[in-house]
Amino acid sequence: MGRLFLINLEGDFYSCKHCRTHFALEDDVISRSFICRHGMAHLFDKVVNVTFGEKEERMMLSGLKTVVDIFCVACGSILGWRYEVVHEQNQKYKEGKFILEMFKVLGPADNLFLAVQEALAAGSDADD
Amino acid sequence: MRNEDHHCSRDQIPTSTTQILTGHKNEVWFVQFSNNGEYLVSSSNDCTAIIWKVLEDGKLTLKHTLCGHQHAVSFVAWSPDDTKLLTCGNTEVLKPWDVETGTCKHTFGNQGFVVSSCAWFPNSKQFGCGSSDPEKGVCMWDCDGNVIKSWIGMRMPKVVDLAVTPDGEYLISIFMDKEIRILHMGTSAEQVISEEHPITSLSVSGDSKFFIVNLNSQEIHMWDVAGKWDKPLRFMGHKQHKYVIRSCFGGLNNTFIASGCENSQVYIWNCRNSRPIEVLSGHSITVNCVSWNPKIPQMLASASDDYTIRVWGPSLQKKEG
Repeated sequence: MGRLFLINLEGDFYSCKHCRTHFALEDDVISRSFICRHGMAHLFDKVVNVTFGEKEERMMLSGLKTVVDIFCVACGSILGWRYEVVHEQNQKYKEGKFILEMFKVLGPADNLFLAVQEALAAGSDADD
Repeated sequence: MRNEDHHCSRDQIPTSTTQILTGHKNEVWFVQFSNNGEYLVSSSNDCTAIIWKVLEDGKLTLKHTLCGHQHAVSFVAWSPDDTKLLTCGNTEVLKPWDVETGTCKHTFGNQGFVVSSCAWFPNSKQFGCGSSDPEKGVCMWDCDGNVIKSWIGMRMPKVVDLAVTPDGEYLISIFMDKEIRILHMGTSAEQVISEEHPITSLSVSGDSKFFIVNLNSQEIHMWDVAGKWDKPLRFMGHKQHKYVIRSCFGGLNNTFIASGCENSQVYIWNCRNSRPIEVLSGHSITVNCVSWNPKIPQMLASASDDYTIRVWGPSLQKKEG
C-alpha cells in the first residue's frame, strides 16, 4: 500500500485500538444503544479513514438489513458496518449511517488518557 | 484544424515506457524533475531519496542515493537553482542536501515540529515548512536553521501541503479542513478557497498563474493564483480514494496535466478538457506521483508502489505511422 491519506480529527474522537487511526467524532454519534457480537456499539453519522467490504444481506436483532462491513484503512481491522438498505420505515434513519463496535475502537476517554501519557513521556525526554 | 492540432499534440505526448528505474527497495512515493530538466529525484518508503541524472540520449542513470531518514521520504523539493534538495520524512524531519555531493548538512524539525510539507523561496536560500501539529503553522527558515518568519494562527489547521509560486509572490497552503490559503508575501493579504472534499496534494504551474489540487473525491481542480475564479476547472476519470496522489502541469506549452492513480495507470488531460486524452498502462499497482520534465515536454516520470519509476516518451509506432 502507498502513502495513505489519513484525516486527523480534532476534539473528542474514536480511533483504531490497534494503530490509532482516527475514525469518528463524538459529535457525530447518533445513538449509543446498539448491541452487537462483542458488546456495545454506537451509530455514527459519518466516519473517516475506512474502507468498505462487499454488500451483503444480514439478519440482525432488528430485522434483515443490507450492509457493508467497514475496515480500518491503515491496518485493515474490521470495525463495524454501514447500513446500505433498511426496509422497515421506522428504521430508515439508519440508512447510510455507520456502526462502530466499541470493542474495536478507543473512545474519547481512552484517547485523552493516551495523549496525557505521551505528553508526560515527551516531557521526560526533554529532561534527559 | 482542431483535429490536426490534436493529432500533432498526440505525437508529442509521452505514451510509451522508455525506461524502468529500479533503484528503490520499497514503494516509490514521490518523483520530480529539477527545474533545469537535468536531474530527477525520487523518494521512497525505503527511507531513501535517489538523484538520477538525465543523460544526453534521454536515459537516466543513478547519481546519488540519499540515506539518513528513519521514516519513508514522502516529499522532496528542488531549490530553484537546482543546487539543493529538501527531503521530508513522513511525519518526521526535514533534511537539506547538496545535489552535487549528495551530502546533508542539517536536520530541521523534531518532536515539537513534525514537518508535513515544504517549499523553497526563489532565492534558493530560504524555505517554508508546514507542520502536522496545529499549533505550529507555517515557518520560514534559512539553510542554517534560523526561523525568519512564522504564520501561526489560533489553532491553525494542520498543514497538508505547501507551495511557493516560482515568482515568489505567493505562499499557497493546503489545510486539513479542505481550505486553500493564498498568502501574498509582499502585502500579507490572504485569500481563502474552500473545497468540498479533502485535498491530498498541490502543484503550481511554471508561470505562477495556476495551481491544481488532487481531491480524494477523484477529481483534480485547477484554480487561478490571483483568486479571480469563483469555480475551478475540473479534471476527472482517474481513481483516488485512500492514498496521497500527486499531479503536475507539463507538456508542450505547459497545457497538459498528468496524475497518478490508484488503479496503476497514469492519466493525462489537456487543460481544455475534463476527460483524459491518454491513459498510460505499465505499472502493476498504485501510481503515487508523476512529474513532467520542464525542458523536455515529451518526457514524463511516474512513481509507483511496484517499487519502480517509469520514464515515458512518445510512442515510436505512432511516429512511424
